[in-house]
Amino acid sequence: MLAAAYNYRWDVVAANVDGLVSGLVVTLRLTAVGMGIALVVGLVVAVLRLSRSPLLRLPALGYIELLRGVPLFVFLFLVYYGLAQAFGLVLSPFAAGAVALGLTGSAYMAEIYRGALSAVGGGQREAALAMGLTPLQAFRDVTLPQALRVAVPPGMNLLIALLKGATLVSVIGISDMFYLARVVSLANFTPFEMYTVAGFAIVAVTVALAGLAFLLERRMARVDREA
Amino acid sequence: MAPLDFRPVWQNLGVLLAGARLGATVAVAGFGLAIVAGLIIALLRRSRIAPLRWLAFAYVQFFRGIALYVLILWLYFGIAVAAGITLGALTAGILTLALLNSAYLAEVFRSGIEAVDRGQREAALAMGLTPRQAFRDVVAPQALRVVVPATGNHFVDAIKDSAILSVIAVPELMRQATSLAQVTARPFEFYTAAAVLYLVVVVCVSSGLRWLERRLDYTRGLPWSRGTAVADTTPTH
Amino acid sequence: MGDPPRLEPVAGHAGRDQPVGTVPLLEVREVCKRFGDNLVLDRVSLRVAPGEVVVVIGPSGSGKSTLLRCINFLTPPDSGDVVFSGRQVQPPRSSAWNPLAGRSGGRDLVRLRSQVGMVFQHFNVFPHLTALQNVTLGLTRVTGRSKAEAEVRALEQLERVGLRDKAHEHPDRLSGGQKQRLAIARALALDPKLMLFDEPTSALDPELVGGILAEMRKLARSGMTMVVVTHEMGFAFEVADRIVFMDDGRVVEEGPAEQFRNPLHERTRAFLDAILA
Ligand SMILES: Nc1ncnc2c1ncn2[C@@H]1O[C@H](COP(=O)(O)OP(=O)(O)O)[C@@H](O)[C@H]1O
Ligand SMILES: [Mg+2]
Repeated sequence: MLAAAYNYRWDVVAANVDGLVSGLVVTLRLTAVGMGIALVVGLVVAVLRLSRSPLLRLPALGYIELLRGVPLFVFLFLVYYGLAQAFGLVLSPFAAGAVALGLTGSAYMAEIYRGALSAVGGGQREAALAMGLTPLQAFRDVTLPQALRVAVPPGMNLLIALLKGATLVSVIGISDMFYLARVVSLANFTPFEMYTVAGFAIVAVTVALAGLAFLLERRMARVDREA
Repeated sequence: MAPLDFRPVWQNLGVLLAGARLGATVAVAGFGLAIVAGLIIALLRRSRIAPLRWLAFAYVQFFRGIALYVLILWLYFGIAVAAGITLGALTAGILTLALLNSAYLAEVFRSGIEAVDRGQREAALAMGLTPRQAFRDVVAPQALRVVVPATGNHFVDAIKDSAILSVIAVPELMRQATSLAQVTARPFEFYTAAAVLYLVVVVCVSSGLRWLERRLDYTRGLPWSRGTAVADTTPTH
Repeated sequence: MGDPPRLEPVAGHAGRDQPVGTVPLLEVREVCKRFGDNLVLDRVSLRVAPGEVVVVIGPSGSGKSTLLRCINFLTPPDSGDVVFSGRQVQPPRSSAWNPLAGRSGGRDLVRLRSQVGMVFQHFNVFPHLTALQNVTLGLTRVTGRSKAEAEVRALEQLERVGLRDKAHEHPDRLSGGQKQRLAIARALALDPKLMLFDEPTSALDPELVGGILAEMRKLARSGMTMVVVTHEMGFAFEVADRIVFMDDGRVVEEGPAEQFRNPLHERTRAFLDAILA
């Protein structure tokens, strides 16, 4: 059997546990920063998208469609290699990854916010205005808190998607698990061992996040049912 | 910092377009396999035999949990090498897209079947339709309306995901853009061109899908068909 | 069909009679509102004296809700004036630029709204806040009270509508009747000069209607000025000083409650026959 020719070297994995762990931490940090950008920028874009003025609404719509239509992989290269060449804007791989991930995420997050804001009935805003709250107060104290709750489950899905997207950033040389796997495998010829461990690590994290999302959603559904 | 120059892009447009065509072909092939596999997994998820259900569940969880980039490295550089299989880049790319999307589609199909009220099938059988007819004329059209939008979203994601196949040197659009960007030292121009081409394909496919959704929507024009729930379009890959 | 007959106000409840010529608390003059081609309010006028209870009745779609919403500018009128407490309310600037403002804004408007309470058919209590927080929100945000002060006052208001023990529950734990009491407490906490009620009992189970009407009766007895859209004619005959019948965006008949036991207009008669049948 051909497979017998492959010499399994799990000791190489063991020797690189520290590197794999810190690589995973890099991916998680990148995901967190990207999600942070997506949450903030996405809200601004969503509010513009819901504006009655076409001057605000149309650019927001364009932003959303553009960033959702371009693959993250392409956008990442554009940010990392393209900006440096065209505008002399040299970003670190981490920064380029965070920007690409965060902006792409913000387009999806904007749509999540938009759906959530529309899901809060107009009666809520009216009741707030009727008692004398300013439109800004009505948004901040009444509409937004309710919308955020609606946005949690799809937001968790986006977080998982961004984590998967963050693994891509190793192609521009960020020192995550996959970068390490490539380097170590070249030196020791252990691609199977290294990629298997790195792959299972990612699956473990995303499945855990998905489980958390499931529990969260079920808890919120129960609260709603008790209404 | 040299001024932007898009002439190299125009000169190589043919190569880029050929890459786009190959990428689309790979996406269609992978997605076609995924539809078949996804249907099977969805049925296994509802099987009466518990171990089959568990197996299908594990399959779905695993492939929904893994990133395409991770899976492709693992499959192409890890598993194939360890197993001593010579896997062509194109085959590996199609296989990866198929595995990943089959897991997503299995969930889509399952929820589509479950979305149709049990009473619908019973009513159809009660009026004398055969189980086959009940499925084809009553259950399927209703399930399809639920399934098509989500399936379409995954197909669009699959097209965008085909860009990642460039890491194993499948000569699709992104791979061609990368080599040309290096050769001409014009990454901004070539990656912009790639972005525009992907955008064009995605917008065309999305509009086609929206047309299809409208055609399948038998509630179209009925007063209560407006303002239905917002589809979750979050990327899942 | 000419102007609605103008009759001298007759005595309502003892001690609440308004001398003729009293300055009205609210005056709506010739208000028009259109939605597209649909003329929903056609030169509607309404005067409400301090302490007066006016009940507005009329078929569905006749413009009753729109009239109430024009009073606090949730729906800005297309033309006509709203004078409240002797001050003409400035129509809000339509703000296309501030996406949060929508068709509203202006200090004047906020002042008006804080003095005009509104109770909705579907309660519109805030589900993400506890009963207490529903009431304190306006007190802290609109009247600028401290949190501690606001809570003391909010608890008084909840007490008043019998919800003291539900203060820390979220609305999803309250029955429809309790939600509507909460909405009333929320409005009353701001010490309004005028209360608007838009079919406050229409969304309630029949057995809960009585409680809300009792609450409103209590409020009327305390001298609150009220404009109430309702089809509860028993309540109207008992509590209203005046009844206004609207149809098709116009005031068809207006007069003391007693007049509606035997209305002057055929359309009023037909409507009352239908709902009292
Ligand atoms: N926001 C709106 N847009 C368009 N038409 C409206 C709107 N609000 C009310 N209308 C229309 O105005 C008319 C009067 O409505 P409304 O004031 O709610 O009547 P009522 O409360 O007497 O039942 C109805 O024909 C209704 O369809
Ligand atoms: Mg109404």
